[in-house]
Amino acid sequence: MNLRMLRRAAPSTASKENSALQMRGLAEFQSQKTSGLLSPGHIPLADGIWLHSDEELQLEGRYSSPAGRLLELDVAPKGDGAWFAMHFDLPPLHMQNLRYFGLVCRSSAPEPFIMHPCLRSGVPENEAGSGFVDCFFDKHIVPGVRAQTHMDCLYLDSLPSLPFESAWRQLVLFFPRSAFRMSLLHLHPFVI
Amino acid sequence: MIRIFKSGRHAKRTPLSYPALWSLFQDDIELVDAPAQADLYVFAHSLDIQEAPLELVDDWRQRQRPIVLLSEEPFWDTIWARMPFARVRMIDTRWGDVPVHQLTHQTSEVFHFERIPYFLLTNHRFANAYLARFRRNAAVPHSDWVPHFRSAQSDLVFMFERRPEAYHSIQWPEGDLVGLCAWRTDLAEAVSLRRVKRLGHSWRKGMAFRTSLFDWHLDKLVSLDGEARIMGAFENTHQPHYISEKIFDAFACGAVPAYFASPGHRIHEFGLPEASWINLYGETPQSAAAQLEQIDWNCEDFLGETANAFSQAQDALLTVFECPHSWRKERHRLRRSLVCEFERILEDGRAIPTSFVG
Repeated sequence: MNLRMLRRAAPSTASKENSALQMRGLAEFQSQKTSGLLSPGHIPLADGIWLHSDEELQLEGRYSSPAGRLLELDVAPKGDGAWFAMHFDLPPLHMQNLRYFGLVCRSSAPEPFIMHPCLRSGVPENEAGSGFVDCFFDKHIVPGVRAQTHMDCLYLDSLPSLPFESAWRQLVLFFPRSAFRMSLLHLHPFVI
Repeated sequence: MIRIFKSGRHAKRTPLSYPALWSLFQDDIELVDAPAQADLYVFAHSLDIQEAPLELVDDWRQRQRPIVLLSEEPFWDTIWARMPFARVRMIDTRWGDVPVHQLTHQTSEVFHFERIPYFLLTNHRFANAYLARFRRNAAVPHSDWVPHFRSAQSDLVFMFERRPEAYHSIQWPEGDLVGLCAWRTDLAEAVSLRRVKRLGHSWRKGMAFRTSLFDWHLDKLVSLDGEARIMGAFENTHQPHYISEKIFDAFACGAVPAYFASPGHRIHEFGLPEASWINLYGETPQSAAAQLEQIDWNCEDFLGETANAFSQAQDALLTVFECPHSWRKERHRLRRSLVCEFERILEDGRAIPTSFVG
C-alpha cells in the first residue's frame, strides 16, 4: 500500500499535521545561552540536538548559542574525516498524512561554504548497512555575509528510498569538513 | 587549454558561440560536452544559471569550478540579472545558490572595444555590408544628399521591438546605464508625423520575426536603403561601451540616425559631426517626438548643413570600417581580453568548503 492510498484512507487527520514541528529541546536551546569547545565525536547541545563528527576529522573549535541565535560555530578540524553534522531529533511523523517535509532557516557566514540538509530515517541494519537512510533536500545552503533565509521542501511521494515507517527520524545538517565560521540564526522544520 | 562547458537557452549568445569568432579561441579554449570535464562553466544569461541542470550544480558542489556569466547584453544584465556592477554575486538555482563571476559590459573590459564595437565582430556580414555601403555613400557628393533627403519615402522609420512596460525603464546613474525599451516605444507612439513607419512583428501582426529571416541584417539594409530621412537607431539599453549595428545601419541606408547618447557614450569617438545625427539624450519621449516633428526639411539652410555633415559622417565611417587591419586588431583584442579574464578567474577562484564527499 503506497502513501497516496493511505492518504485517501485518512484525510481527516491531514490538517492536524500541517505545522511547524514541535521539536523537543529546540525552543529551549534557542532561548538559553551556552557555549563550549568542539571535540571529535558526539557533542550534546540540548535535549534531542547534538553535533557529531567523524573522529578522523579531529574536530576543534568553539560553539556558542547566544541569545536570539540558535548556534554559532568556529570550526577548525585538524584531520581529514568523512563528516560533520548537526542532528535534530524529530517527533514521530505519520507519513500517511503528509505531503511535504520542509525546512526554513536563516544563516550567515563571513566566508561562504556549502551545507546540505537531509531527512534521516532509521532502518533495520541489514537493509541499508548503516542503519539509516538519508533523503537529501534538492537545495544546498550557502550562507553569505548578509543573513539569508533558506527554504526547501521534500515532496515525500517522490522519494522512493524514504521508509514509510521508521523507528526514528532526524533532520541532519551536514557541514563542511574544513575550517569555517557561521551563525545559524534559527531553523524550523515543518510538515504539510 | 581552458576547458569550458556552455549551457542554457542563450548559449549561442557568447563570444565563444559565433562561427565568426570561434577561430580566435581554438588555441586557448576547448568546449567540452559535460560539466565534469570543465575548468569553467559559462553561461550567457542569468536565467540560464537559474535553470542550470542538476548535473552541473552537482558537479559544482563536488569540484567547485568557477561559474561565469559571460553576458554580451546590458539589457539582460539590468532587467534580469539586476546586479550589473557586481564582479561576483550569488544566483539562486533550483538546487541552491551558487557564486557567479560576471563578465559584462559593466564589469569587464572584454566588451570595451578599441575601434570597432563588439557586436559587429559577431558576424562577417557587418564588415561586408558596411564596406560596400560606406564606400558607396562616401562617393556621393555632399550636395547630392539634399535631393536624397527631399525624395525619401518616409520622414521617420522605427524598427525595434515594441516594449512599453515600465519595468524596462531602469536607471543606474553610477554606470550611465539607462533602459531605453519603454522610452523608445513611447517615442515611436508619440510621433505624429504623417509619413512615419513602425516596423516589426510587434508593431504589425502577421509580419515575420526579423530574427527568423536567413539574413535579417541584409533584409533590413535592402528594404530600408534610401527609404527614410530619419531612422530611429536607439539601443535597447544605454551603456557607454554598448553600440550595436543600429546607428551604423541608419547611416548605411542614407538616413539621419536618431540616437540617445550621454556625453560619456563612446559613439562620440567616431568623428560624426553633430549635425549628421540627432541626439535625444535627456529628452522625454514627448519632447523627443516634438523635436523630430519640428524638423523643417523644406529649410534650405538646414538641408545644406545636414547634407554636408552627413557626407562627412560617411567619410568618417568608411575610415573606420574599410581597414582590414582594424577588424583584425579588434578581434585579437577580444581574444586576449577574454582569455585573460578566464585565466584570472581560474587563478583567483577559491573552492568554498563543502560537505560533499568527492
